[in-house]
Amino acid sequence: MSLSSRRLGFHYFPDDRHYGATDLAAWLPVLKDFSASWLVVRASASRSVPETFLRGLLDEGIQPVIHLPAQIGRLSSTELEPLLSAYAAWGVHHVVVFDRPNLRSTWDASEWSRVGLVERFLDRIVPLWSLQIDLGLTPSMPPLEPGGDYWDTAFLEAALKGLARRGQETMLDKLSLCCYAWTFGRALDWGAGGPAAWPESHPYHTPEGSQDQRGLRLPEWYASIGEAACGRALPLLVIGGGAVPPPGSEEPSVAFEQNAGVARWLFSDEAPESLKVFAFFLLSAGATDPEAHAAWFAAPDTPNHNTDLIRRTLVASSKRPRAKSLGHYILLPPGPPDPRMWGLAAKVVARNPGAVGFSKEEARHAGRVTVLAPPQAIGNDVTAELHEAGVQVERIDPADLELD
Amino acid sequence: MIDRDTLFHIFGAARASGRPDFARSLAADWLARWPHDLEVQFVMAQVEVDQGDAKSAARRLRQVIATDPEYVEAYDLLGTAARASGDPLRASLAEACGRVLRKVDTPDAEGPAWLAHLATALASLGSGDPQRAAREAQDALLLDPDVPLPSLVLMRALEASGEHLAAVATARAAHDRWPECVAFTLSLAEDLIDRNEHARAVEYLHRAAANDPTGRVALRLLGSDHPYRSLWSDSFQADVSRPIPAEVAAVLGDNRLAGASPAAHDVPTAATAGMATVGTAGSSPPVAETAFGAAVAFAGSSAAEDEVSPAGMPPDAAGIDDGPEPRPEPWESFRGPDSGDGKGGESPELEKVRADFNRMAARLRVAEASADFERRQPAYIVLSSRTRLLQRFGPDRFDRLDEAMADLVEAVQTRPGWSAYAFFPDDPASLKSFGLTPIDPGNAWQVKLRLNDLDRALAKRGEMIGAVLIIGGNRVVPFHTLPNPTDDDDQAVASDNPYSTSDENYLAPEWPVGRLPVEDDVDPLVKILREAAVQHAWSSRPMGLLERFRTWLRGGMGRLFGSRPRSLGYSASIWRKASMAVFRAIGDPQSMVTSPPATVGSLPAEAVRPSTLSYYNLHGIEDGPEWFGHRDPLRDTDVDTEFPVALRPQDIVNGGRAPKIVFSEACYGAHVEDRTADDAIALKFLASGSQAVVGSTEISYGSVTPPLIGADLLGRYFWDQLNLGLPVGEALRRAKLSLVAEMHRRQGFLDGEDQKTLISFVLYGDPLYIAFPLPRGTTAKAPARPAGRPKDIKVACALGSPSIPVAELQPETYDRVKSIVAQYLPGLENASAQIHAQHCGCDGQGHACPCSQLGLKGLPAETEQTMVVTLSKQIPDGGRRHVHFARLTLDSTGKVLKLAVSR
Repeated sequence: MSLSSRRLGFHYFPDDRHYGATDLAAWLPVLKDFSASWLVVRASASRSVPETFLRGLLDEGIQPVIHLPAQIGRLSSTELEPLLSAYAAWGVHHVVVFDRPNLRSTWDASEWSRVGLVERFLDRIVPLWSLQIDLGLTPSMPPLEPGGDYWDTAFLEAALKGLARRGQETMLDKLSLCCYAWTFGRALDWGAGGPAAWPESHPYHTPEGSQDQRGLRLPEWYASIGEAACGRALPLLVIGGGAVPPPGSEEPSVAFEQNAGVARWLFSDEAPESLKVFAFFLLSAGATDPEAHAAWFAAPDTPNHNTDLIRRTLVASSKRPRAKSLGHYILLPPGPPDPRMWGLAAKVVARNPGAVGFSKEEARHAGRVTVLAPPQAIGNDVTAELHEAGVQVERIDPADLELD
Repeated sequence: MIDRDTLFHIFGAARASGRPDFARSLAADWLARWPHDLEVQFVMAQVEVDQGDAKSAARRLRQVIATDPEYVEAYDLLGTAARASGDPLRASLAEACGRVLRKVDTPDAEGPAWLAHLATALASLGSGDPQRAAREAQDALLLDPDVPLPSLVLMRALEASGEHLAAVATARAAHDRWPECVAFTLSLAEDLIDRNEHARAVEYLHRAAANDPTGRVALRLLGSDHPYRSLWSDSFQADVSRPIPAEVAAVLGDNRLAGASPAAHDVPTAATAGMATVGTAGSSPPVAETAFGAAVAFAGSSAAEDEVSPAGMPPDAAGIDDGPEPRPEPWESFRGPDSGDGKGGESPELEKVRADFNRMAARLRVAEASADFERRQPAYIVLSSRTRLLQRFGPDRFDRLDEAMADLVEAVQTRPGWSAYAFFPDDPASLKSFGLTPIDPGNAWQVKLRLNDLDRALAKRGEMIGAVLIIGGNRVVPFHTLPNPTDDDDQAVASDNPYSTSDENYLAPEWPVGRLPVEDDVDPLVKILREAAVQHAWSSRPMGLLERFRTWLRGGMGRLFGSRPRSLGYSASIWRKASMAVFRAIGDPQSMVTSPPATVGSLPAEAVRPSTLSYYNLHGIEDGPEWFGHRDPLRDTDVDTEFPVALRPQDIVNGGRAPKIVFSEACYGAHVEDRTADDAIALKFLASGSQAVVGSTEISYGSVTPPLIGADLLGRYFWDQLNLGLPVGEALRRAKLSLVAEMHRRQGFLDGEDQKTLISFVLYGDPLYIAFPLPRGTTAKAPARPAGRPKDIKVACALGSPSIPVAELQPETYDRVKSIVAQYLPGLENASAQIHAQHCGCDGQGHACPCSQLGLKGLPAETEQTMVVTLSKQIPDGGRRHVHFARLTLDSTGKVLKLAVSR
C-alpha cells in the first residue's frame, strides 16, 4: 500500500455510544471496502473506548485516533494518566486531547480574556504531552478551528515557537499536528500553495482576490508554519475533513461529490508529504444528531450519498501510477563530499546513467534509486519511505565497491 | 452567578440603600473574575470614594486612565478622589484633562503648559488640521506629562497626516511606558500584521482584548464591525460570594431578587447610564413605582448629575451622605463590619434553630456555626514576594507564574464559601485594595505582620484568612528562624508556624499554611499551581445524577468492605513498634516495610507500588539527601550495616506512582534550602506529583515504643484528622493543636521536644488539598478557625542554666538511664550527657527559647521539678556522619518520665 493510500481514514460517529461488538462487526466491512487505514473516534475522559473495539480495528490494520474534546483546563495529566496508559497498552498511538483551543467557547470566559492565551494553553498541554511521550503515545496538537476566534495560523505559530522557547525540542521532534480541513464549499484548490502563495492574506482579513487557509489546502499552510517554526515539516493528521453538505442543503449530493476531488488530491503529489492522515467527516451519525447531515452512511448498508463514486475514485486514484520526473537517482549519504564516494558514484553512473545527489526528497521523484551508502549512513527507514513513494530501490554498500 | 447587567442593577440598589460596603464586595467579586473591566473598576472607585478610601480610588482610576486615556468620567472622578486624598495638584490636572477632552473649557493659565498644547492639538485634530495637531502634541510631550493622553493624540495626528511610520513609532514608545493602554496595543498589532508578524500581531490583539474585555475602547477605535471582534468575550458572569442584604433586596424589588433575576426588570443603573457603556445591554428605563423604582430614580438622577457636573462627581460624593455604617441585622452579622453577635442571651427558640443548623452543617460537612469558631468567610491567601520572584525568574517567567497563581486564586473562588487573593506584601498594587503599604519581603517578621494586617483588612469585608499558600522557598518568602527549644545541634528552627497565627503565639496555629518551596525553576511551580487550580475547579463542579449514584455506591461499598486508600509505611527497624502505632491509622501495620532488611537496592514490592498515603519514619541527616534505616541489634542480627540507605531522591519515580500525601518524621526531612529535587527527597516528591509533603526542617524527635510522643504523635494525629476528610493543611494544624492538648494532659506543659515538633514540622503543598477524592459536589470539611486564642499554653525550658555534672546524679538514677538507653538505643549508653533542670518561667537569660520569647506561662510553682538528660553521639558511617540525640526527662526521684530520640 502506498503512503498516500495509507492516509485515508474516516471520522467515526460524533458521539461515544457506538463501540459495541455489533458496531465493530457492522462497520469494519465498510472501512475495509474503502481501504481505510485510520478511524478517528470520539471519547470522553470519564470512560474509555472499549479495548475490544480498538483491538478489532488494530487487528484489521486500522489505526484508531482517539479524540478527547474537553474545555481547556478541565483535564489534567493526573486525571488522564490511567486512561492514556490503558490506550497505550492496547496499542493505540494517537490520543488527541482538547479540541479547537483557538475558540472562545472552549475556554472559561474570564480565562479567555487574559493575556498569554497560547502560553497558558501550553502550560496545560505540555504536561499531557510529556505524559504521552512517557507512555509511548504520540503527542498531538489538538485541531484548531480554521480561522477561529484566535486566528488559527497565529495560534499554531505561537504555540510551536513557545514550545521551542521552552526548550521542548524532544517534544517538538515527536509532535503531530491535528487539524480540520473542510472545503467550506470553496474550490478544492482554495489556498493552494500556502502562505507563500498568498502573502496578502492576513489574520482576520483576506483581501478580494486573495485566498487563505480556510479550505481543503489548510494542511499546506500548517506544514509551512511547522517548517518555519521548527525547521521541518511536522506530521499532519486531518481528523475531520472533506466536503460536507451544509445542513438543509437542497442538493446535498453536489456538495458531497466534491469529495471525489478531495480523494484525487489525496493521492496526488499536491498533498504535502507530511500529511499522514486524512479522515473524511463523517462516517455515520444518528438521525437526530445535529451532525447527521454530514454522515456518509445512515447504516452500514444505507449510504446517504453516492459513496460508491468516492470509493471508485479512491480505488482508481490509488492505482494510478504517479509520474516520475527522474529515471534514476544515486542517493549519497549527507555530509561533506567524499572524493572516493564521487568516484564510486561515477562508477555506478557509468553503468546506469542517472542523477547524483544527497536529497531523499529529490530521490522520491525518481523511478529508481540507488542508495550508495551503508545502512548506518542512510537508514532503512529512508529506503522504506522511498518504497512507499513507489520508487524501486537498490542499495550498494560502498565497502563492496572498489575504485579502479 | 450574575451577569453584567444584573451587577449594575445591584450596584445601584446597594448605593441607594446605603450599603456601599456591599457594592464594594460585589465589585471585588466581579473584578476577581474580570480584573480589567474598566466600568466596574470605575464603579469600585466610586464606592471607594463614597467610603472615604480616596487614595485607593485614585490609584485605581489612574490605572483605568492608563488603559483608556479617553475615559472622561474617570478623569472627573480622579479629580474628586485626588482632592479628597490631599493631592490638589493631581486633582486639578485630572479635572483639566477631563475638560480638555470634553472641549468645554480651555486650561487655566496656572496649569501645566502641556495642557494648553494638548487642548490646541485636540482642537486642531477636530478641525481637520492634523499637522498642527501633531506639532502641538509634540510640544506637549516635550514637557514629559505623566499621562498617556498626549502620546495618544500625537499618534492620531500623525496617522491623520499620513505619517504612518511616525505614528507607529510613537505608539511603540508610548506602549513601552503604558503597556496596558489599549489604543497603543491595537496600533502596534495592526503594524505587526502589515509586517507579516502574524503570531505577534494576534497576541497583541488578544492582549488588547484582555485589557479591555468589554471592548469599549476597541469599539470606539475600530468601529462596531471590526474584524477582530471574535477575540472579545461576549458573555460576562461572575459568582457573588455574599448574600444580598435585606435593604438592597428591598430596593431591588420586594426581596424578589433571590428568586428572580433583577435583569428581568431591564432597567439601567447609575453606573451604566453614566459611563457611556459600550457592548452591554443598557436599554432605557421603565421606572416602576416601587422601592426598586426609587432606586432607579436615584440612579437616574445620579447619571444626570454626572452629565452636568464638570467634575462628574457622584451625588453622594457631592454632598449626599450615606450616613454611618449600618449596623447589620443579627441574621447577617457574619458578614457585616460589626458582627453584632455580642454575648447577649439568645431566646430558646433561637438556640433551637441554631442547633438545627449545626446538625445540618454537620451533615453537609461544613464548619459548625458555633460561637467558638469564626463565622467570617474564609479567604485563601496565595502569598509570595513579587520582587523576589522577579529577581529569581525574570519578567517573562514571572508573568507565567503570576498567571498560574491567578488561576489558582480564581479556582478557589469558585469553591462555595471561599474567597481567594494573591498577596504580595512587597507590591503596592497587591496591597492597595487592602489599604496596606509594602514591606521588605526578606524580613519574615514583617511579612507575618503584613499578613496579620491583611487579616484585619479582610475582617472589614466579613472575611478572614482561611488558609495560606506560600509560593517559593526561603529565598522568596523566608522561613521564620525561631529559637531552638532543645539543646541539640540545631542553631535555630526554620518554621512557617508564625505565618499561621494572628498574634505572636506561634505554637498554636490558627489557620493552615502550606508552601511550595520550589525556587530553582518556574515550570514545576506553574505545573503544581495549575494542577491545584484544576482540582479546586473540579471539586466545585456540580455533580450529575449518575455520578451521584456512583458516588453513593462507591461510598457504600467502601464502608461495607472497609476499603482504604492504598498506603505505605516505611520505618527504621529499631522504631517499628512506634511506627506501627502511627501507621495503623492508614494501613495494616503488618504490611509496614522496615529498614533493614529493606534498603535502596532491595526494596520490597510494597515500597514501590503506587500509594495514596505514605508514612516514613526513617533517619535523616542535614548534609545528605538520603533517608536511612536503623538496625535493631536484637532483631536484625544478620545485618552488618547500622544505617542502611533506605530511600534516595532517585528512588521516587514519576508516572503516577508518587504518593499523594507524605508524612516523614526524618530529621531534616523538609530541609530544602539551596537544594533541588535531585538532592532533597521532599522536593523530589513534589516534582513527582505528590500533593503534600509534611516533614521537619530540623532535627525531630519521636518515641521508640508507644506511648507516642513528638513526631510520632503528630503523625498519628495527622493521619486521624485526614481520615475525617479534612484538607491536608487543616489536618496538620489540628494535629499540632491535638499534640498540645495531649502533652498538657500528660505532663502539664510542653517540653523542648514538644515545642520543636510543633514549630519544625511544615507542610509543602496546597493546604486545601483533600487526600481522598470526595464525591464531586460534596464540600470538604472546611477549616474551622477558633474565635479566640489559647491563653493557657504552658511551656517548659531546659536551656540556659549550667549543665549539672553527671556525678551529681544519684548513682542508681544514672544506672537506670543507662540501662534504659542500652535496652532501647544500644550504642548510646556511653554517649556524652548534658543534664539540665527544666525551668519554671524562663527569663531567657543567656539563651533564646520560645518560652521566654513568647512570654507564655511557665510551669506553675507547685509543679514537681524535672530534669532533662540529653545524650548525644556521632556515629561515622562511610562518608556520612550520623548524629543521634536521646532526651530523657526524669522526675525528682530519678524516675524516667519520657524518652525521646532523634530521627
